[in-house]
Amino acid sequence: MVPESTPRPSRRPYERIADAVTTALLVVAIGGAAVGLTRWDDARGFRRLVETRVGERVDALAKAVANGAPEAVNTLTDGLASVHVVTAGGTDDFGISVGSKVAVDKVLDAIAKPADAAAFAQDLLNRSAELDDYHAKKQPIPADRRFAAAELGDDGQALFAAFAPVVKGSEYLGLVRISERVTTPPPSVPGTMVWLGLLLAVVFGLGVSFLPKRAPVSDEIVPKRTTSKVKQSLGKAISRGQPGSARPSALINATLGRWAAGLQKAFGNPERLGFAAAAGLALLIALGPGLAGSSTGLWLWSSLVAALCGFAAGPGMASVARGVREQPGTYLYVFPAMIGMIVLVFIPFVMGVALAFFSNGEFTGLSNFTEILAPSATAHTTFYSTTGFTILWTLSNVVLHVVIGVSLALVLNRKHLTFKGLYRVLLVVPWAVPNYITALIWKSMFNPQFGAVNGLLDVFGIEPVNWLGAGSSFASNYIAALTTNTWLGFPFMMVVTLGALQSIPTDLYEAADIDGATRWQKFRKVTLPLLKPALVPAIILGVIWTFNMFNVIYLVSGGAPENETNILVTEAYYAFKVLNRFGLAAAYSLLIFVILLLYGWMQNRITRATEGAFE
Amino acid sequence: MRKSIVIMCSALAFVACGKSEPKPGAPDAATPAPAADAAPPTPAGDVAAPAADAAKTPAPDAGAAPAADAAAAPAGDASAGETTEVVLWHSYRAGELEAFDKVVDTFNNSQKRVRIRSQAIPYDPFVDKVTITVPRGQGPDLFVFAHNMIGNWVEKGVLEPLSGKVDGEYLKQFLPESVKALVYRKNLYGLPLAMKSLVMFYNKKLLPEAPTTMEELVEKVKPLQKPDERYGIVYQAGGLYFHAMWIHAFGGVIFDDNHVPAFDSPGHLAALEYVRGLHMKEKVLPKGISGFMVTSLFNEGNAAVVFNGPWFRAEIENVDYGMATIPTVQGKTPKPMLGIEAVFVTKTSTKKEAALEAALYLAGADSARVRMNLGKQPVCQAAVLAEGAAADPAMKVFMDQAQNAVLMDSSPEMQLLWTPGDTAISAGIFVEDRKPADELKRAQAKMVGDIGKAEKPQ
Repeated sequence: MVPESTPRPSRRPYERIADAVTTALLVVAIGGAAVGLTRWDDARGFRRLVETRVGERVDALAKAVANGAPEAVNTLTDGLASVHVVTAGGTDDFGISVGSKVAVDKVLDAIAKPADAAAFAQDLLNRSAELDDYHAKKQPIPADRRFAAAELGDDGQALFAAFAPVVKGSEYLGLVRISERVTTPPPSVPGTMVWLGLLLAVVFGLGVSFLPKRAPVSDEIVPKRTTSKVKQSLGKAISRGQPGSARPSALINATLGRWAAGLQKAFGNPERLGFAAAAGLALLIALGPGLAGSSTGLWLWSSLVAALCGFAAGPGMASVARGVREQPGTYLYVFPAMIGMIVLVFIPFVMGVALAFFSNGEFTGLSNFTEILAPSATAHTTFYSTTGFTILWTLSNVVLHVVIGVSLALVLNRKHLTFKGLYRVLLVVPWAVPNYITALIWKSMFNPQFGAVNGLLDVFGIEPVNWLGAGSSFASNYIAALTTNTWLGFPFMMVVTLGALQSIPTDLYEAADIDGATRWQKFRKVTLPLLKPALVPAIILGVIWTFNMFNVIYLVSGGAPENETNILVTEAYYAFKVLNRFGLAAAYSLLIFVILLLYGWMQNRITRATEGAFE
Repeated sequence: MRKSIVIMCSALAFVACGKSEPKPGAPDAATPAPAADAAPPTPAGDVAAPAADAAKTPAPDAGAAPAADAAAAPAGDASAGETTEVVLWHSYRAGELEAFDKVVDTFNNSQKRVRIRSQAIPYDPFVDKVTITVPRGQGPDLFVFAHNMIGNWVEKGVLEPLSGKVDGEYLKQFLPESVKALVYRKNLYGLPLAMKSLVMFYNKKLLPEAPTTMEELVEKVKPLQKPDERYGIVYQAGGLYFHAMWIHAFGGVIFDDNHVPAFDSPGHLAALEYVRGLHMKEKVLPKGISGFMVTSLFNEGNAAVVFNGPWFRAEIENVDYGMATIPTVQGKTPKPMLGIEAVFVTKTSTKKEAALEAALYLAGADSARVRMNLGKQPVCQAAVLAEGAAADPAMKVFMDQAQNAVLMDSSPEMQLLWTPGDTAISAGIFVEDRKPADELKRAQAKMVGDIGKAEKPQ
């Protein structure tokens, strides 16, 4: 029993350190990422600037050359490191550019002197041939064919080169290449600001540890509600301006308590808000001034993310930090697994999430998502129809898996079944074979002309069905994929059920027999409730597996007839592999993740609720 | 819940999985590079990557153009007597592999300057492996593949241009079409080895003489058919690659002059209607044929005529067969797609000099002779192919067919045409209640849509 004089035990010093470390960690992670992003943003902005400037210059030069002669470059060379002009030749019988020449080769700055003159000249001629082709096909010249940059040293110096075609009318005459020495400007956020943010985070983190950790539950018998009521009335009294009844310290205490109670009601725990404020503020103060002018609003975003992370993870991280201090041995054992999870799961996950906001190396915000979520009116299948099919696919599969799996398990669980072992082995075989081999076998079996399925139908005098491939219907493709995946999926449910059946005590059935229960009643009232704890996690897993069952859909139906049987993950693959758009694929993946997250959360709520009913 | 996160993460991770490819072909560090390349390896994808400029080209005297005779192209410091080892990737199998290995051995034993270390890579992951490893400097020095990926590879910085380094006279020894295939944006990117196009294979027991027109062929194979057992014409009619010859015969093209897919056109419709007629009206063309089934039906003597490529010769067993060019249809000449297998030098190779020397030998006449005679390749070296055609009627068929073939498109957009094309063609030919015109319209829309959606080089 704690003495009454201290309402709660005083905190040990390392708890304060843990809070400071937690906030500092958040700031390092998010601030570091933000600064990295600004560096990237700086570099890109600077490159664009230089591209525009040098690009305009080379275009003007190309125009001058087109109107005059290659010598026109002589008048325009101030500040340049080198100027080269190539005059175009023709093409030989094979369509290879020949006869082009380097007409002007002026190196004004020794730094721009190529290490290997002959190779450099050949590169110029090759580039000229490419620009010729872009011009002939009326295609825009991509940036990587128009600009080139090379680092010179570690002092931020670089050599920047730009190419422009010399065009007169529709005729391609050659190219101009100029290079300029450029100096990278200092970064918009100095690295020292991260240290400032870190320092602030430590200070604020220490501050967080002074916050009331939990609602001050008093040790007396006074119920919680009464306490808060007392404090509320106290607060009211103060606000009405009736002094005298409370000393200033009590006033502060009461106000704090009221706030704490209100915050606790709204957010569960004031500690969370403390961490959120500490991490967010530290970053805001550190990055805000440097990035205030930046158009991306990055400073605000990173502060918000820090605040959110502080809110969500701060208390947990702090308790981990405390745990490390209290039980270092435990964490030593967990450490390798944590590293594995971080490297193999969390980092790829974060990268994937980040990738979803990029397109073609450019930050495009939500455009990948809008492309998916707001498809064009002419699109044959949309995200919504695909999601609909994915849900249909998942539901129908899992229902079949469970029904077949449980039925077979019940049969196999009979005591006096002969060759039970053999049956068990045979029924587990579909599970043991790699699923893409199974998928390919089933695909051949569904071959309309030579497959076993139509052969079997023929025995019964049923017309052959055009299952897969050209002109097959949605239903036939769906049935084929469903059959394959059912074959693949039921053994898992069967094995799980078998295991659970073994653990149901027989005396329950004996008792039921004595009560005169029928078989169905025994199944309904004894077997099924006792299977539930084993089956529910299996069903959750089954849903997630089936939702993302890429192999079967891709190999069996391939989305036939016309993408109707594609599920979300095969659409993601299509964006990734065929369209070469990694950002779009990542956006798909993120959407799948969100859907499964919602599903998992719902499933958790529902099972928790129903479990209560059986207890 | 945790599980769902884990599973989703792996779903996200597959997006990046290609990056962890192993690198079996990493250049041997112990081998001294011939070039005094001071340039650091290029960090691919870096915003400020040093581009194809002065600093990056390591070859000491690349511009000095090794002349037509490959043997007389000594690398700069090869005179020191050191051997440069270059890594070569290919996906040859069976007879072609045997012949290719022999060529490589001959080359390695004939001189001391360059040694080829040849590595067989399975065909399926070949494109991905090259596309991923080479820009990061982990790929081979040279590799062998068909020409149709050139567009993608040039734009991703995989291939080293060979213009100016290979003499124009040297190129004249090849069939002109085969060199044209290796030119992208007016630069040369490879040296041709062999060509692949469809020809007609026929079972001599069933058809003693090769028909020269499709009309004659249809009449001749009709009486040979047995329901559900023996068929007149067996080939993968539903695939764009196989169907292209009819498209070209009826005046259709894959891409129009503005490089837009041109599937919704009269030529395409006529071609599709014609093959649909072979299936529905003449009933000489079965449906649902896979590559494996073509082989087994022909070997069982249950296919009178097969349209297939040179690789099919290695698959035929115990059948007395003949080969001929694709018969004319309604007086028009079918032109199958022509694929050129070539040897490429990679852009990030540090031994380009040596790699080029090896490539020049591999494409040359000595090598071509071995590859043709031992590996049964229809080679691109014109003189050797003519020699072969005189001795081997099969080679003559390939040579003749190459005159009537259309080079496969090598632009990146072509890769987006295969799937919609296959879908439309197979439905248009084989499905009773589908209209070919509608199928072509749908395919056209999908192709144009996908090209619009796909990532464009900036």
